[in-house]
Amino acid sequence: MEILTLIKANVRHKKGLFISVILLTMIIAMSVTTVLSIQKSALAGVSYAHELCGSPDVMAMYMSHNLTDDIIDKVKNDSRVDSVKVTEGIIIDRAIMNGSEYSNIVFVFGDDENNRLLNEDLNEISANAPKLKKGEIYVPQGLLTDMNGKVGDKIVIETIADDYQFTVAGILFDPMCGSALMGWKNFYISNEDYSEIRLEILKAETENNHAIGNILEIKKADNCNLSDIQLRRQLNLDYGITDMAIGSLTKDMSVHYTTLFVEVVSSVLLVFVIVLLAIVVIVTVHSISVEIETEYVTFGVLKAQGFGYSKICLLFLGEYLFAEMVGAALGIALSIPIIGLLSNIFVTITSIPSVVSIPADMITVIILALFILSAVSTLFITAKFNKISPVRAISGAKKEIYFDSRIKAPISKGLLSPSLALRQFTSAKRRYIGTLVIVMILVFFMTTVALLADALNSKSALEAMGTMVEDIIVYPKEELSDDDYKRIEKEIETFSPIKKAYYTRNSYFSFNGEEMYCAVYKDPSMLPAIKGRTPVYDNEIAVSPILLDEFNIKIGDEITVGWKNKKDKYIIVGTVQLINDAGRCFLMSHDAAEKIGFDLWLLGGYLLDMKEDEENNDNSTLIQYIADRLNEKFGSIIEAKPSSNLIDDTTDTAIKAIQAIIYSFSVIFSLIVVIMVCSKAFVQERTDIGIYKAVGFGSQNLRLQFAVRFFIVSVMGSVIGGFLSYFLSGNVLTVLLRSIGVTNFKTNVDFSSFAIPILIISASFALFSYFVSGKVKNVKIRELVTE
Amino acid sequence: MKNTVLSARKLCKSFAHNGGQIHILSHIDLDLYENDFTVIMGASGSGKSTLLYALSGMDKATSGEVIYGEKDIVKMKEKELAKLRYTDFGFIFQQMHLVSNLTLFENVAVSGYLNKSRSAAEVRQRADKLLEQMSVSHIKNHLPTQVSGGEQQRCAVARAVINSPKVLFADEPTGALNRKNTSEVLNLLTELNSEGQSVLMVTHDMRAALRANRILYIGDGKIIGELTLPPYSSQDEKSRETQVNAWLTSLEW
Repeated sequence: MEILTLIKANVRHKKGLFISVILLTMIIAMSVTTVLSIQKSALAGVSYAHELCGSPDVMAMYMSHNLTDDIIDKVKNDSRVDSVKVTEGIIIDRAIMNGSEYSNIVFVFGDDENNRLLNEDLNEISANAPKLKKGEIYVPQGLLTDMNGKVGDKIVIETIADDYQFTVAGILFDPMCGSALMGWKNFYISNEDYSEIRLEILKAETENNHAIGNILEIKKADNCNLSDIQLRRQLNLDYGITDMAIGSLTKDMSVHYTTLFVEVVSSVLLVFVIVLLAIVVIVTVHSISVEIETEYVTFGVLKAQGFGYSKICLLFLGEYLFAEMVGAALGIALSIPIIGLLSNIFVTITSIPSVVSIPADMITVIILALFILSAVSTLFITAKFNKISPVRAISGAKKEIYFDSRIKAPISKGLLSPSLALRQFTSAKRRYIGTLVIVMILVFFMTTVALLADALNSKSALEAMGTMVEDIIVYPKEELSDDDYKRIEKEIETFSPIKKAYYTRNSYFSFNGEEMYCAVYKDPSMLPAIKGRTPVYDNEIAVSPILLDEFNIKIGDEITVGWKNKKDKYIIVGTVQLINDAGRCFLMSHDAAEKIGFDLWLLGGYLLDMKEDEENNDNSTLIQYIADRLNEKFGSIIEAKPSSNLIDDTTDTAIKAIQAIIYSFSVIFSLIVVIMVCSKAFVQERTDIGIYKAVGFGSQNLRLQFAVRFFIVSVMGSVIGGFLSYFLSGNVLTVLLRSIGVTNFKTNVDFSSFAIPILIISASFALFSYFVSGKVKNVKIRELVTE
Repeated sequence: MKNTVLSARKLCKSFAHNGGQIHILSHIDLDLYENDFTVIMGASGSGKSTLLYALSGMDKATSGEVIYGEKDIVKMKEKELAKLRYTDFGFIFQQMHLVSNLTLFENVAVSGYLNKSRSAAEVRQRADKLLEQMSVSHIKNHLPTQVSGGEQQRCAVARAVINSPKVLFADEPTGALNRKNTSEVLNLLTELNSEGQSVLMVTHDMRAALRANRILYIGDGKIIGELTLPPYSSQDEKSRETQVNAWLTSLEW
């Protein structure tokens, strides 16, 4: 009862403090609930979509002559397979819409009455899509996102026969391939158009140039216990289904790639929220610690009255847990409408509407973790109570508690306020440790996100991570000789020196029976090896660390690699970072690939020797000019194009959005932390403020001292956070981005990545502390009077 | 004819309490003169400290005027009052109130640094001189918590006079001190007064009051008695005590 009375009294008298704790917990609970729910809703939407559409468990695409009846029959008759469906389609060269090109694999099919469509708001799925008329096309949202398109826009599809223009009549709902992150897309046109184009293609097909393909869809038997990938591997080992395919996909993989973006964005935000959670605990600990110091006399009196450590613990636990529970309840309540508004936020990427779903278990665990952490910290920090001597407290002794001056920063007349602020800081350093740590954490996270954004927009960083970047790409129209490539290089060099030229072609190969993405390079040593070395001889490969883990293999192991019907053994000589197919990828030389019949022509990539920071319009114009000249001179054998953006607009926007969210939350947290810490400092220093006023200091001057002090603390914390970020951000980002294939994140150290967060946080702390210290005005010198 | 340094006219101070008003000071008219050592006495709760704070501008009067140099400090803005505190007024508190994280020297110097009329070197020189005069120069680099109450109060006196104020206000400066320290602090104030410093001190200590050449007695928020004495001299302390004691008794102190 006595505890309850004290709790009630404290809550009444420390409204500001409790409001701050409530606000902090509310933000965390709201963020956790929102982020986890949006993530789960997106995943639930994907599950529902596959169930609704009865998606196949394995899909493989073929040039039609490579999918024999024999393979189909064998697969059909396999006991692990329930059903098989084969659909013929046209494979197009590329699609052009709103000036953007889409060059990945696209199958175009004739109209299917079972198609489902998404409405233009992307929140409803309608069954039985209207029958397509001549000149109309259904495309998935993923394509529209990539090409900034919408229903009603014109799209040109280029085939080996001719180019055909269509009008987008609706958004195809395609859970398997519809996501913006899937490199394989399916379009539907009217049966009339399909028949006409098919005929023209058949006429245009040559022995080496085909464009009629087949999609093989396989559904697992109910009694099949294999995972989708295991089934695909076994069917390939038994019947060569992927060896003969252009590409293949399992439902699990589709779900993984479709939700990859959601997972990465959610993970980054969730980690940040957990960081904020740590901040709340630090603030709570600081607050209790200061309270024990400032209320030294009160606690001495309580101790004299028989209050022990356990009762005082209970008092603090009651107060703070009450505030945190109120905050958590408010946060969860507030998140409900936010989830309603934002649950479908990723639909332009996933192309699948979310199904609102709240992961109550996960949310409960995280919020409980906050309560437990806060409670444990409270138990530890309240141990200070044991050191209180009732006699000392009642006699007003404060010496040991109040400050810990060891460093006496000099006081100067010229810089009176700053030097006094510095003295106040150096003489009570412990008081600012919490703030320092909080600033450090915030700046670390802000800098990490800035480094992420910078790296993805930096050629040097992407190169260091194993991604080839170029200014001009050359697509061969026929097999080119080394002389042809030399002539092209020479032509480019008449306009600009070439910093790097590489020749590559990527394709799916069989890797120990499993279809795997392979980067084939004329000179694999252009990619940096993480461990071991890159392949030199034609019996060597290098693999991504993700593949190493997934297949439980190591450097030195032998792998069977297959391309169509041919197979050979290769030795793993090292690991490299490859981010294609979310890091499930390996590398080999062109000579090594030729051994198993890989006969695709190599693309040429040319990075010009231009300074990155000078990459402005003039450079773009020059690059375009060079590409035009190459097309003029070598148009019959190649097509040259300036390279597109380093990262696509959607990813760029998402990273900028994450950056904005993290920066905004950091500033909001700065404000709340300043309010809490400043208020406590204010209570502790009320007498000193009165004295300063009595000797002639004005309120402005004293407020400036507060601001300078917090500025000093925030600059120190920011610099430490910046240093930590310099050394650790790469590792943190590697962990966070492993799911997209990044196993060795290289930061592009840019002054602004560090300067901007440091400036924002330092300025926020200084400004907020100046505003919060407005209370100085209320301190009356009269308070110094002993009546 | 003495020069007036500070005047109060119809000075009132009231506080709201339980929906009503408590009048602490009621229409006080008062002149303080240059070079005087004036003491305000009165029973507990009579309003003597309130009067001191109202006169010094440390607290706002509810109504009335406090004229200093032709300006009404009641109407002054905070910025003007702050300037007044580091140029013309000095203040000594009963509880010393030194800034705990500044050394004794810095406590004195910081007040001096506020005044633009002296260079930093001059301020440091004067602070050193004052601390020596107050006999605390040997501990000038100590923090307030490392010295005795008397030493703290002597430092507080040095701080109060660092800017050579026109008026030195002291609120029970010996209230928290033992007999020896009380005597030392009073000697310092007397010495300063003999050098021309105007002093206005609130006390209920008879021995402190003996140092004054003018004693005002306040009761129920009004000045109800005034005693004028010759300047203090330790030789005639006994007779002063008898005189003051008789006067106070007549006022039912």
